[in-house]
Parts: sequence; C-alpha cells; structure tokens
Amino acid sequence: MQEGFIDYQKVLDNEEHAIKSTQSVIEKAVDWFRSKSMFVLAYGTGCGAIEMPPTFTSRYDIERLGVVGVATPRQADILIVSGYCSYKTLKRVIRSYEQMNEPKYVIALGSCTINGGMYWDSYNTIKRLEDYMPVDIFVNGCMPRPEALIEGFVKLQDNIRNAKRKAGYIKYIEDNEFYKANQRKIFGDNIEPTYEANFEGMN
Amino acid sequence: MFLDIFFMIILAYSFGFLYYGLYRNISARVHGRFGPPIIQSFIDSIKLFSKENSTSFGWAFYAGIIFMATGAVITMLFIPFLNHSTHLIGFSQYGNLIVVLYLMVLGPLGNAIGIGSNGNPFGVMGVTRGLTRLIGLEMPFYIALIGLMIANQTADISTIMANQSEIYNAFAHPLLFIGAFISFVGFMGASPFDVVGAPQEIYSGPATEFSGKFFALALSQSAIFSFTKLLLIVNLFLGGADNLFLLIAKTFILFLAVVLVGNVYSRFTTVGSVEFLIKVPTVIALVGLFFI
Amino acid sequence: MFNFAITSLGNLFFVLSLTVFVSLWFIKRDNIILQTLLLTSLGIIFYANDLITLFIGWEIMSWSSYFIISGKASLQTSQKYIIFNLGAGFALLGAIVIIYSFVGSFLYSEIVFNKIPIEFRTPIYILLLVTIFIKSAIMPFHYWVVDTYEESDHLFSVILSAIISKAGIFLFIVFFIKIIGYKYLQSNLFDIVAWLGVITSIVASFKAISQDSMKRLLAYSSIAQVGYIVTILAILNGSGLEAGLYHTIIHTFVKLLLFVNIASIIYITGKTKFSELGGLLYEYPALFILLVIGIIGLAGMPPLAGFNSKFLIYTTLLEEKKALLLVAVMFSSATAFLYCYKLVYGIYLGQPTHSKESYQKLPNSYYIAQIIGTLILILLAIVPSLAIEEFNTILISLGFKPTDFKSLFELNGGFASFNGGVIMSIFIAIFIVILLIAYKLKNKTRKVKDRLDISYCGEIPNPNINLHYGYGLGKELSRIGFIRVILTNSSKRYWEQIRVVTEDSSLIIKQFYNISVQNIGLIIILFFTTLLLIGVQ
Repeated sequence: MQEGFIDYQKVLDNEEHAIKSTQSVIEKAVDWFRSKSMFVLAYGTGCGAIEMPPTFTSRYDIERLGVVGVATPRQADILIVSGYCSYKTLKRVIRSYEQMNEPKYVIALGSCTINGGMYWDSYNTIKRLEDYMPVDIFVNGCMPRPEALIEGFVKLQDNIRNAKRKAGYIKYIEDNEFYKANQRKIFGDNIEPTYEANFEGMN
Repeated sequence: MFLDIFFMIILAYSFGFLYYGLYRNISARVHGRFGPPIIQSFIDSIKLFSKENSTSFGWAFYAGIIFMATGAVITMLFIPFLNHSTHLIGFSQYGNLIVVLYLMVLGPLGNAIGIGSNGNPFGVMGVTRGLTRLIGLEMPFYIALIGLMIANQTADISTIMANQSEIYNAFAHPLLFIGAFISFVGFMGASPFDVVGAPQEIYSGPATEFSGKFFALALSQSAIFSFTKLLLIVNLFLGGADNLFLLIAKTFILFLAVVLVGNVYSRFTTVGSVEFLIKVPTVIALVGLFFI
Repeated sequence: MFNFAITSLGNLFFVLSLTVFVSLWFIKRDNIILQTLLLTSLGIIFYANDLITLFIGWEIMSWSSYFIISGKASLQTSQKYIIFNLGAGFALLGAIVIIYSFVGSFLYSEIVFNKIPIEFRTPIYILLLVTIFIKSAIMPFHYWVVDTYEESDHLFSVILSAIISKAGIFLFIVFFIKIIGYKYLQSNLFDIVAWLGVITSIVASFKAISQDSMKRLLAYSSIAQVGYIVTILAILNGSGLEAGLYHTIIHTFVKLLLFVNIASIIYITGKTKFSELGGLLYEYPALFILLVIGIIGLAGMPPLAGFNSKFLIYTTLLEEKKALLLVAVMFSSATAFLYCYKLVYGIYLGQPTHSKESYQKLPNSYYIAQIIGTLILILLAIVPSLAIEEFNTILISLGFKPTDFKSLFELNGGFASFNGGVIMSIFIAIFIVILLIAYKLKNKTRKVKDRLDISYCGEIPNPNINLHYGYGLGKELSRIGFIRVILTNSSKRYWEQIRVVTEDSSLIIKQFYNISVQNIGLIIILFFTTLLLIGVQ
C-alpha cells in the first residue's frame, strides 16, 4: 500500500538524485538558471503570510531576483511555510508539497516552525516542522521583515548554485520512513490517498 | 526554403519571449518598481525544461499540448513576414487570410482536449470561459477583416499588404481599425478581457495541471502565438514591413499600445466582456463597414 | 407511368444514400423491407424525369420512414412527424398542380416557365419553399425534427440526418435551377430565404449548446448545418450551387461518423445523457480518436475536409459582396466550437461518473461506418478538387460554367484559393518534429497513479464527489442577454395555437355528421342553395 502522492520507486530509480562531489559545466549552468528563476506557491499557511505581499509588490520587489508567485503546486518550485501549522493545515501543506515536481525547496518563515514560537504549549499545532517535512532555509523572527525574507532567498540561491548541502527533497525520498512515521503519529495509521490503482487503462 | 522556415521560427520564438520580458518590465515601471531582467523568460523556459520530472496524465494530455504547439507554428508559417520580398514569407502563397483565421482556432481546441483529459474541473472551467469569450471577441475582428477583404477584392495577405503603399489601412478605414484593436487586446490576453487564466479565481484556469516541460511548451507556444497575432495586425493595418528592423519597430509599437491599455483596466467578467464586445466595438466596425 | 432519366445530379445523391444505407446494414438489419422501400423511393425521387414520379417517390419516402420511426418513438412524436411531412407533400402537390394547369405536361423538359402568368409565379415559389423549409428544418418549421431524431432508433437517426434532410436540398436544385431557371427568380424573395437560413443556424447552434442529451445536440447541429446549405443555395449562382453541393457531401459523412459513434456509446453503456457519462477516454481510445476527427470536420477546421466547404461558402459570399450575411455565417460558425467541445468533453473527458458493471462489448461492425467517414474526410482534405471534378459535370448539365482548377491539390473558389495537400503535409511534419523534441528532452515524466491525483487546493476528492460538472457547459450562457432570449423561447406556443384553431374548426365540421333531424334539414337547404347559385351563373 502506498501512502501519499509520490510514486517513490520511480523517483528513486532516477540517478540524478545522488549529490556529486564535482559538477560538470552543464550542471553548473543548469543550477545557475534554476537559481535565477524561482516560482513560489502562492499559499499563505499562517500569519506569516502577511509579510509576503509587501515582498512581492512595489516596495521591496522580489521580482528583480526572478521570483514570481504561481497558483498551483504543479508549476511551483518553492513552498513557503509561513508561520504556525495546525494539524489541519499540515495535512494540506504536505499534500501540496508532494504534488510539486522535483527539484523543490522549502523555506520556513517565523519562529513557530523552529520551536513552536508563540504557540509552544498549544494542543493543536506542531512544534518542529523539521520532523514532518524537510526544510532548506529557516528565517526566524516573529514576523521576519521583508528584508529578512529577501536575505533568505539570496541564501537559497547561493545554496542551489554551490550545492553545498543535501537538498530537502532528496532527504524526503531517502528518509521517507522517518517522515511518514512522524506524520502517522498525528494523522492516524492510514494517510490518504492510499492507492488501490482503481482506474485501469492508464499504465 | 527550410532555412527560411527555421529562421522564421527562431525569430518568432525569441521575439515572443523578449516581448514577454518587456511586458513584465513595463508593467513593473508602471507600478513604480524595477522588474526582472529582459531575458527573464528565457531563463524561466530553460529552468522548466530542466526540471527533473514532469507530471503526465496519459497520452491524450501529451497529444493535446503537442497539438497546441503545432497550431501556433503552422499559423505563423502562413503569414508573410516581409513585404515585397521572396524571403521569410513561409507558405503564404499556398494559403490566404481565411485559412489563417481558422488555423488560429486549431491550437486552442487541441489544448482544450488535452486539458479536459486530466480530469481537473478547474481546467474545464477555464476552457469554457475561453470559448464563451471567443463568441464576443470574434465579432468585431471578423467584421473588420471582411471589410478589408471586400475593399481590396482579395483574400491574400501579401496583396493587402502591398496595396498600402500610399496610406495605411489604419488611416484609410479608421473605424474598422478601432473595432479590430479593441478585440485584439482580448486576443493578446490583456485586461480588460483576460478572465480566462485568472490565477486568483480559478487556480490558474486552463494551466492548472501543467508542470515541467509541458508548462515550458505552453509558454513557448504562447510566445510564438502572440508574435503571430501582432504580425497579422501589422500586415493588415499598418502596412507590413520591408526589412527586419521596420518589422520589429512596428510590432513593438503595437505591443506597447496593448500593454499600456492592459495595465490600466481591471478585469471584466465573462458575461460582461461578451456583452461589451457585442455592443460597442461591433457597432463601430459595422458603421465602418458602410463606409468602405 | 414512371419516367426516369440517369443524370449526374441524381447519381451524386443516390450514391451518397446508398453508401450510408449499406454501411449501416453491416451493423444491424432491422426493418429491412421498410428500409429497402425507403431506399427505392429515394432512387425514384433522384432519378425522376417528370413531376408525378417525383411526387410518388416523395410520398413513399414519407410514409415508409413514418412506419420505421413509429416503431420506437412515442405517439405524439410520430404524429408530429407525419403531419408535418404530409403538409410538405400537399404543398408540393399544390405547386405541381398549378404548374400543370398552365403548362399542360409533367415532363421536366417540357415545362417552359413563361407560359405561367406573373401573378401565379410567386404562389408557386411560396408553396415550393414551404415544402423545402419543412423538409430542411428551417425555423419555424423545425418543430418536428428534434424529438424525432431523439426518440427514433439510434441507427435510423443516421439516415434521417444524413439523407432525408437532403431531400429538401435536392428539391431546391431540381425546381429552382433545373426546371424554372435562375432568370425567372426575383432576388428579393431569395434574400429573405438566405437570411432565414442563417438565422436558423445561429438559433440552432445556441440551442445545441444547452442540451443535456447527446442526440438532441446532434439534431440541433444538423438543423444548423442544413441552414448553411439553404443560405448558400439562395445566392443563385454557379459558385453557390457548388458550395452547397460540397457541403452536402461533407455533412453527410460527418453526421454518419458522429451518429454511429454516439450509437456505439449508447450500445456500450446504455446511457444517453452527458450528466451520466464521462471519462471514457482511456477505455475506448479508438472511439475517442474517431470522434475528435468528426468534431474537427463538423467545426470546419483545417487541415480536414470540413474546411473546404466553409471556404467555398465564404468566397461565394465575398464575391457577391454580401458582408452582413457573411458576418452572420461566421458568427454561427464560431458558436459551433462550443457544442463541438461539449460533445467530446461530456462523453470522453473529465472524471468518470459511472460504474462499469453494465458494459457490453462493442461489435466490430460499428467501426466500418466510422472509418468510411474518416477516410472521406482525410481524402478530401488532401485532394479537395476531386469533388470539384464531379461537380463540373453537374454544373455543365445545368447550364453553368465549370470551375477550372490548376491541380487536384488546390481548391479554387474564384475569389481565393488554397492548397489542401500543403496544409496537411506541413501539419503532419510539424507535429512529428515537435513530438520528437518533446520526447527527447532530458527529464522523465512521472505518471499519476490515480485519477484523483489532481491539484485540488490541497484536498483529495473522494470518489463520491461529482467532479464531472463540466457537462453543464452551456448553462452559464443564458446570462448573456440575447442568448437568454433565444434559449427561453421556442416555437411550441405558435404550433400549439395552430393546433387549437384546427381542432376547433374541425369540431364545427363534425356537427354535420351527427344524424338528427335539424342536421338533415340543414344539409338539404344548403344543397339546394348551392345548386341555385350555380344554376344562376
């Protein structure tokens, strides 16, 4: 039985996911292009979403860096988890994350994603986002100003170009059991969608 | 011949993308900020082509996108780029304006079939909006083109271009040009008629399930198609061009006009745009038809 | 008694009818005697050489098709069918009788029209036009068409739509071109005929978009397409005749393809409405591809052959400088894209709304008719002037100039021309090139494993949610002003009033049949009064 949206076997068969110690010229060029044009999923998960509109509009203008907001996870590269995540929201966030196409990155905004922040003793929110989803960049603050968010984007561009750290989506595939075990503690034993391949004819 | 066609495709592709980058830049300056660099669309396209995987929904989805790209390219090949020339005219001697008008609709129909096959209801909502809007958009446009064809007694685009040596059609038949321009703004996907792909309303409309290389193909065909439509209007109403610099200058001026109109107005609803287009530009074009 | 002549016009129509009948007999041979009788009567009509033979064939066609329809349709629908068609027959008989009383002969070649005085010519035209309008379903005489197509047997709807609607067209050509000749017709009346044809197309296209049943949508689409033929024939010249004949051929084969496709779907699933179907794309890919080819032919798009007839219609109207008529035809043609898309979406695309237990297996004979239609569409796309060669003989026999064409690949409409072979070959070449480029790109595709893996705002729709609501494609159109006017009115009110008036007047006449003293006295008085009045004269 397969949980979630990704067919992990097919993705694991793809050799590109190994981190190479040296990169050829083409891979360096492709990484440069990937860092210059990043599409962000327009999804405001928590109260940190109030800092996203000023960043994307005239005053702080992140479009200079090539960052654009798109509406659907199929077209997006970056998911910004902005603020606290209640259990309800986390389910949808994980589903949207799994529907994105590789390579994908997560930016965690605000202190609530690091250690629970203002809601450290709430019964309804998660305290460490790293247990449930791999995160690439943390931007702390309550709320971080748009200049801090832009600095986070610049650091992410740096990471993509130099490939210093193992990217989050590779961790999600290789350590999938760890993440799913943590998710099962919150969502119950069967995380939807569970596939029985109920539509033949599509091979 | 093949070198000609290859060069035409490269020209349309690169200038379509450059114009889209310019669109983002000009919109940004209107908003009071700096925008991305002009070559941003090329960078987007390379990034999308080099995504590690793309989601596919079966062979019909694949075929629909290819159909759409084919429709855009084949429409471009039947419009001559230059006036009084034997190069860069494509296959325009084998076709005429009526063929081009119907080829323009072939791509969107293939796209609609591909979108319908992925089963997402937001996609078909976007397609319905597009087809309904087409009822309104084509009335003033077709009236203007029929008026031109009857005035010039030919349906051949090269001949209509060559007949404009003394005075451009935009000044000889001004009412027809105004009616055609208003509906041309809608064809280019600019406000106030851009309800089709509204990202905030219906989850990006037709392009909901496009990812990776499919999205890159969609953006490429959109660039080629925009350039084709600009070229058609320049050839019919603004006298065509004798060499490449004049062609680029004229298409850029027309494009600038469309962008500036699009940045100022807000969006009509589907029903509102059809009702507006049936009333105002149609009446203008019909009045222009009587003065041929 | 019968008088036949083998003409090229008759050959064309009879070969079309024979092809349709034979390709349907591969599938099912119900009512074989009645269908053979129908085919014979059509042969009598098409090969007739005098007016009485024509009328006999017409009447046999009316009642033999009535018997086939009334086997499956409801009583009210069959009665509507036969009453309208008998009305058409009586109008035809009236015109024939008036012509005979002045000319003195029934043979086509002996009818010289200037023997008829001027004040009787317009009534003849009007009677003939009533026959043609009823048979070709021009509004408001279309009242019988939609219910008949919907309720009759699924394969007989093919014959109704592909052939019997062309009987009116044949009558137009025979009477107004061959017998009477264009020089006697005044163009004011035929301007009105042309506008009626175009208005029929526009109204029928909008009504087609809002239907939920597959057969009703195709019925309204047939009305719209035959409206084009009537419009272009009413232009009264040689190129109009050529365009009308080309559209006849294309429409016959396109409707053969579409109706047999619908019949296959009804055979498999047993459902006739869009709201109960959906998502059949991956289970029946061959039927899907055939329907898409039919749709492209119906909408009239290049590179397939549907575009040829539309092109000829447009060039004829441009040459005659009828700009407003051309605008209306193009408007109706653009509206057709909506119902074409609804047809393919409602059945094959979208999410499935059915359970598969009640599916039957489709016999292979259903594919024969569809493949014939496809082959004709593709053949005429590559060599469009192949049909023009046939039409040239008809044009010469009717006294028009034949069209000249430089090569078989090129279609020449007088005003403009295009090369069909070039378009088709470039299309295939570019398709293959782009397919190879997209295939060779570096990244792999990840196929979704389930139909429910759609990006639905982070939710997962469970199978009980109805995601196929795209079938209601035309309902939002009724918010637009002029479309609401079209969709909410229908001709039913007026026909109901005529029915009520007829019933009331027949009640008066019924009184004479009661046996009672007052009635017999009344009859005797009326009889002697009439005798006196005639005797006085």
